[in-house]
Amino acid sequence: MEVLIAVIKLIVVVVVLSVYVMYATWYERKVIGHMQQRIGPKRVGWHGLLQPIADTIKSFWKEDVIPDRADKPLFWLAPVIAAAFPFAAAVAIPFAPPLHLANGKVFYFSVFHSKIDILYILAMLGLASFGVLMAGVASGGSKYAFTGSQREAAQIVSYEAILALALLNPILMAHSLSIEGIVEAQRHLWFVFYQPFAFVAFVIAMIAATARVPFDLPEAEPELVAGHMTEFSGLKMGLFFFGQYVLIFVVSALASIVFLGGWTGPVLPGVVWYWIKILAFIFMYTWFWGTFPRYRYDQLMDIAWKALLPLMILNILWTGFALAVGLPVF
Amino acid sequence: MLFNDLRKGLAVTIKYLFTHPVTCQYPDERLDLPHRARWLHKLETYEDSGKIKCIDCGLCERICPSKCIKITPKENEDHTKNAAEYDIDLGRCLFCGLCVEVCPELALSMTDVYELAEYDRERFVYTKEQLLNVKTKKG
Repeated sequence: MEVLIAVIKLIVVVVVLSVYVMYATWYERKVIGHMQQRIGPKRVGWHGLLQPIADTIKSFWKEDVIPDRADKPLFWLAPVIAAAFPFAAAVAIPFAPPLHLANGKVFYFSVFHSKIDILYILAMLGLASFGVLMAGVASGGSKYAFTGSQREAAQIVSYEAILALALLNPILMAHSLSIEGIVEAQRHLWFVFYQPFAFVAFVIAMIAATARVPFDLPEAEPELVAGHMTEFSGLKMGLFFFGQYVLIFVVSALASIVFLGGWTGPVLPGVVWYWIKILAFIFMYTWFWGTFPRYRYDQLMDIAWKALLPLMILNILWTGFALAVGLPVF
Repeated sequence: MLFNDLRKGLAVTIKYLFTHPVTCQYPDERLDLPHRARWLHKLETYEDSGKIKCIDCGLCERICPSKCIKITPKENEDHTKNAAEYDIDLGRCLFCGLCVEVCPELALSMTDVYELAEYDRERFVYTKEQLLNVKTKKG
């Protein structure tokens, strides 16, 4: 019975995330279009609503080009890893607050549930970037792909530390690594009000983690064609997109759970609050995309190592000190 | 203030998100042309008699910088002249409007018909009948 429920949950998650990825592209083109006083997709279906379906079908039938000099096994593995690990992180993200059933059991709206959710998600986020690294190595000496992966490597060492350190503050305050525990600890006041610096650092690191504007260095369209994806076509490139958009969902959900109190909030029911916060973060991504130019990767490393890392270490020291002496943490 | 330049940029984009797009959905809707837009030529006729105004003076033929107008004259019974054939090769026309400016009888005008693409170069040569029967958008 447990296994059956888990399989059904998994299928639901796959379907929901696939539809989400498809319509995220539509929504982003629409919003960016209006920010630039254009209309965006309009011709396929009502206001272009069937455009993502047409795009998906098209990517299925595209010719699958593999360069002669490519490392074939890695070339197959790279997009799979880039899509699979964000997905592995997404199975731990709840889609709604847990339901307390009449017989005393708790029904969780995530496929996978444990006491160390946050740690597991962080580990999967770390592994996800291997797809990008592998893509550059597998592309057989394509300079654009290789430069893209090189930049991803520089980016990983910048954001991973900040991502974990920024999460450490709320974890210290909640005394818990599970999503329920952290949300429970924010019942009265969200952690963003206690930890504004950690929140800002986390938002910067999560944008870098998903490789989106202004930190889309591995892709960098004007400079590197498509960066690590240059040699990939059709469904393989679709998998990279899939991974990136699922990653955006995962970090958005993580940010809203850890800093904005997940499903806690006044008046409205929990699930509504939860999705408002996630969608707000997803909109933030689009908004930044329509606004900011790209940072150079030495600038990203400057921001991460010279500004955010000392700030986060001081923040953790202060949080620890304040918790130890029983101060309210500000 | 912190992130001041970034905040300014974000304010601009969020403002434009709620303004009206400037796109013209071309085949479905068309922009209004300026009042004196110069597109396809039209040969004028007298409203009462319906006769062609052109007296075959040949000034338009002479002034045309790209030599795209070709007139074949015809003498009537009462020794007036009219154009038997009046061809304009729009493939060469640059829509300068000099032929309209120079015409002493106001027999030639330019309309707002601008969708003139053809599949064949020979079809750019508009004959007298075609130029007499131009349907303008303004009506």
